[in-house]
Amino acid sequence: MSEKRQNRDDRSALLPRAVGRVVDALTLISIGALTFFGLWASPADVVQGDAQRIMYLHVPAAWAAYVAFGITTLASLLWLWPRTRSAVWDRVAGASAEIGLIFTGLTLLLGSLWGRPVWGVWWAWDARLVSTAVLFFLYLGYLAIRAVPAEPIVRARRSAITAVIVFIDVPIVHFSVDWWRTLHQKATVFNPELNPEIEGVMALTLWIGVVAFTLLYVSLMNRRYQLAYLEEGLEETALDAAILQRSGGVK
Amino acid sequence: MNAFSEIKLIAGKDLRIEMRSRILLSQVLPFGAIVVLLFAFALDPDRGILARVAPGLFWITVLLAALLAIGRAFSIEQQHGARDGLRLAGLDGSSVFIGKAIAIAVQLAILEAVLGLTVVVLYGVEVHGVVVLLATASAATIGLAAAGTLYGVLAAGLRARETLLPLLLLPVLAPVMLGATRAFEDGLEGVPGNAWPWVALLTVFALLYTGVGMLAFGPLWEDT
Amino acid sequence: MTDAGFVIASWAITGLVLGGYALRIALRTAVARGEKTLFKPAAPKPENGLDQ
Repeated sequence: MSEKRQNRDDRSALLPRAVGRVVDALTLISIGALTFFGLWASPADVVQGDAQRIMYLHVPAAWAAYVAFGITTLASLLWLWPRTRSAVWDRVAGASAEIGLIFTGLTLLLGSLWGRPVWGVWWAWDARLVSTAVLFFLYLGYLAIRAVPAEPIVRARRSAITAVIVFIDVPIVHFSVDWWRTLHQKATVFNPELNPEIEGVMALTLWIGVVAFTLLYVSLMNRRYQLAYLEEGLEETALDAAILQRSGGVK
Repeated sequence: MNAFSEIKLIAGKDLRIEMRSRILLSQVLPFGAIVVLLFAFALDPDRGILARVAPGLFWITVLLAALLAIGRAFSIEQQHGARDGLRLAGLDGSSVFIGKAIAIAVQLAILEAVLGLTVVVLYGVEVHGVVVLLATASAATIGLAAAGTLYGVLAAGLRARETLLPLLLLPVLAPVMLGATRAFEDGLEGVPGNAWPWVALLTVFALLYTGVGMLAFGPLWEDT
Repeated sequence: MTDAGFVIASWAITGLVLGGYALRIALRTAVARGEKTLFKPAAPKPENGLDQ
């Protein structure tokens, strides 16, 4: 049994073991570099002062969230396309959406923490903030659908279709919220990018952040995928075990 | 049977059930009316706030009532093996989708008309720009019905559907709520020119979800 | 709270959220592998011909 599990384990990873290790190591190194550059090496912003350093986490987190949801959509489409249909894509979609939700939640938290010192409020009805919040709830719904137990194929189909429906809504939400905040408030009080042309060490730090969060996404994906794979197997074996137990060990 | 008669069959069936059970008229409509009343308790009716925010309150009420109507549209398929009967009838998935969406849209239109009148009377709203209001309501209703039918079948047959449906549907419908409210505001304020982009957005939403619904309804319907 | 305070808080929260999530995955993975048991009584008995 444990041998069987070991076999299952070897096939369960998304990345080859060595590659996974390298990604993990690079993730840690880049997070260390981001912390060093973000907190010490980069200069404080002229307008925003130290508070601007939150950008080095906020923007990469948002980026990683978009990547994650993009992958969810792509994997769902690959599942729906009969020629590429595979349980792999279902697991990838689910794992990526969950990680994306974590990153979206983090983006909102960080945005709030950034907003307080810069805008003076924890929450502002900024177009991007609002559409990110709606995005959060859209994918919360997607994961709620995923969590409903069903036959693997039924669940996979249902999830894949939901992912596509949800994704279609993203640009509509984005446009509508954008219009809402620009048509009705001619002068936007604040602009999330108070200085769009960031240069030198600050730009470098931001790039390090993007690299770090992308690597972190890959590393988390690798683990979360493996977990999804193992839990699927567990569902099967646990059912067998329960039946075996009920029947008093008689097969 | 061609697609048109299939659609007519499904929509007619759902509307006939409604005519006989009167769930919409006896339960959903009164629910909407009490929500309209409660808004007046929440927002002081003497300060003219109600008339100013009437479009938003109206669409929130419609949205809440729509959730009930959509839930109802699929709970009628649960009883007496109606779902299996319908599946075995060999109808095209997209026809069933359009048929159910039309039935929901008709019910929503009735709901909107009555609630709209209630809001106008109770909140003291002066009606301007009827053309814009009607165009907005039509586009929004089709969008609500299409997205609602799609998510309705997704949640149908699931154990937690009563709680799952609002969580799934409300974020998806957020742009409809936003667009319809702004368009109504612009229409009532006498600047219909500002409202047309919103009507366009609502139309795009309605078309997109009708298209996706026609494609996706069949497989989802088979699984429920 | 000073600006620096907000910056420190943002780094701390990021660490907590992402660290917590990674920890949760690790824990669930250990459970799924059978290296860790959350509910002891529910585990199948060895005399039924199954290991833990």
